[in-house]
Amino acid sequence: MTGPRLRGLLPSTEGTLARCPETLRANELAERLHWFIHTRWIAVLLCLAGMVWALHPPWSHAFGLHVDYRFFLTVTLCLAGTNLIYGRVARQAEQPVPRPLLHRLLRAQVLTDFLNLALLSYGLGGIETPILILFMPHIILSTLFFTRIQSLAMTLAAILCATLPMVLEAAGIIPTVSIVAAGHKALPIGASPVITAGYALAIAGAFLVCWYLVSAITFSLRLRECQLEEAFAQLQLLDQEKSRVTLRATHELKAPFAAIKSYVYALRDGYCGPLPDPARQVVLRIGERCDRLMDKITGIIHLSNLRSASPRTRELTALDLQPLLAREVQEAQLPATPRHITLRLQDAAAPCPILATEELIHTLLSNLLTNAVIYSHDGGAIDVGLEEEPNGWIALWVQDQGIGIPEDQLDRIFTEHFRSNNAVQHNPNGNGLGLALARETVRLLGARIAVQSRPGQGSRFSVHFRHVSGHTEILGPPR
Amino acid sequence: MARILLIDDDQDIIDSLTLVLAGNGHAVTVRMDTADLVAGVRQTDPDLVILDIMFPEDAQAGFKAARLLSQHPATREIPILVLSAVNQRSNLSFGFSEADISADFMPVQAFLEKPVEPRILLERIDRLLRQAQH
Repeated sequence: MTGPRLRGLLPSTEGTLARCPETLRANELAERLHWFIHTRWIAVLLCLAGMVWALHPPWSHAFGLHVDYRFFLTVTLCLAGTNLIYGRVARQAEQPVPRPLLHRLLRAQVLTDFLNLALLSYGLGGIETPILILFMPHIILSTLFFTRIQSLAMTLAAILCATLPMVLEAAGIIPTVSIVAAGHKALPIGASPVITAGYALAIAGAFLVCWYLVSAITFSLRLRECQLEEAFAQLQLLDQEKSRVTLRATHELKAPFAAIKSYVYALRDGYCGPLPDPARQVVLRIGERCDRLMDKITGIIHLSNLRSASPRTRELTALDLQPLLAREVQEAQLPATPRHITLRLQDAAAPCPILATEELIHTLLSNLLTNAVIYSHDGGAIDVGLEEEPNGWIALWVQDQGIGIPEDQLDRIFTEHFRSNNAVQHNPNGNGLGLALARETVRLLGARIAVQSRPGQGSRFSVHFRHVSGHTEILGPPR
Repeated sequence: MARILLIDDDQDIIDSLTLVLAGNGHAVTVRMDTADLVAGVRQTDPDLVILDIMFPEDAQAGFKAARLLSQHPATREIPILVLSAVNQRSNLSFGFSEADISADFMPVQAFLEKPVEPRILLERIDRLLRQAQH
């Protein structure tokens, strides 16, 4: 879709703002909740490693540090204990976890993390280590989990937890902890109230700037996401409306022809009295012309329908191409048999899963096969087959021994209403839409179509589909 | 021969089909909309209903009428033959066909596309009438 069209469809910012949820959706919050709990186990392991490190003075002293392992032990136990509780509550809650409970759980987790970080930062000498940086990821996550106001409150709680130990140390309320081992020069920050205050303010400023920037970006992204969702919903509504209008238009166009044809049948079969032979011939020709016009109208509407569709609005599923092709070949045999044309299907060695819809595959294959039958000579043969290509694609081909296409007209055969001269001579009644329909179908399937042809010797159409890999469930034809 | 109720909004379809049906000895009554359907059907007491799907007032009026007739105790035994100009063979990426006949979506006994060959229509009517008698 082009930019201007998309912009035209995007709802106004004001309207979207009112409808946009202020935080993640409940299912996203639930995913984040479990991720948060799992990630915390990594933090528990790291704290355990820190404790082991602190328990061996030769290791810690090698860096000129002296760390009290009891801080690591306390934080490890607190983190592990609270994490077990959070995990249990999340598992035992009704599923899906209600949104208020999700918020309460996430709020509790962030706050207990702040308290643990405060304790760890105090035990690691406050500003002597960069441990306070670990508050930042929680501030960022808060902007995702909570509303802007709530995340600001969380940021203030982070500032309080990060600065309280150093303030209390400076005030002499709690003992000063330093991890700088004896013999090394200790940092004098704890001893200076001015430096302590400056440092605390710097932390507060950094945290607030972090919250402001991230929350602004998050808010903007959330708004854009909402706008895109609303635009997509509008597109779907438009698509439904288009289908309704097309259905009605098709009915309105086909109904008069159906009525004319009904009269033709009644006349032909003598329900209005016997007809002289010339009159009967005229009636039959009226009926044939009626059929061709109906076919053309249906083809034009179908082509317009496909042309206005986007590959993304079609729900493609994994289908095995082989049985679908077999079914279409069987159907194509009906018009081929009276002309003694043989259709030979060469099966692939293995299933050929592609992403498609049955309806699109029907449109594509029926048009290719019908064309092959129409432009074959009586008594000819048509080869149809599938094969897996080494590059991860699946090739389908339809090869006839018919009239072929002049080389200088090959590049125009997929244009609607175009018919090559020899095609018109061979079959004056064609509508020139079959290959245009095939090309549009191929576009919607994300496939490629190619043709090789020599006049008088036949044509070979090949369609190349992407092979569906992985463990996608492959569906066969339902009926 | 049978009493057939033909429900269609197109006068030409009604007239042309009446030529065929009456020409084969059936007694044809006609309705051009689906209003007060159950009462109308009970009044004419048909052996079979031929029903269009799209009406000017409602593109799905035929479906609704079929569901109504198939649920009402007084009419649910009457076989319904749907005759519509728009179906799956129209290649329009929507539509319906005989394969879509079901109790909830299209509770009818047969589906034919307009225009229909008189021979096919008469054969199908005969088959439905025979099935209804058993």
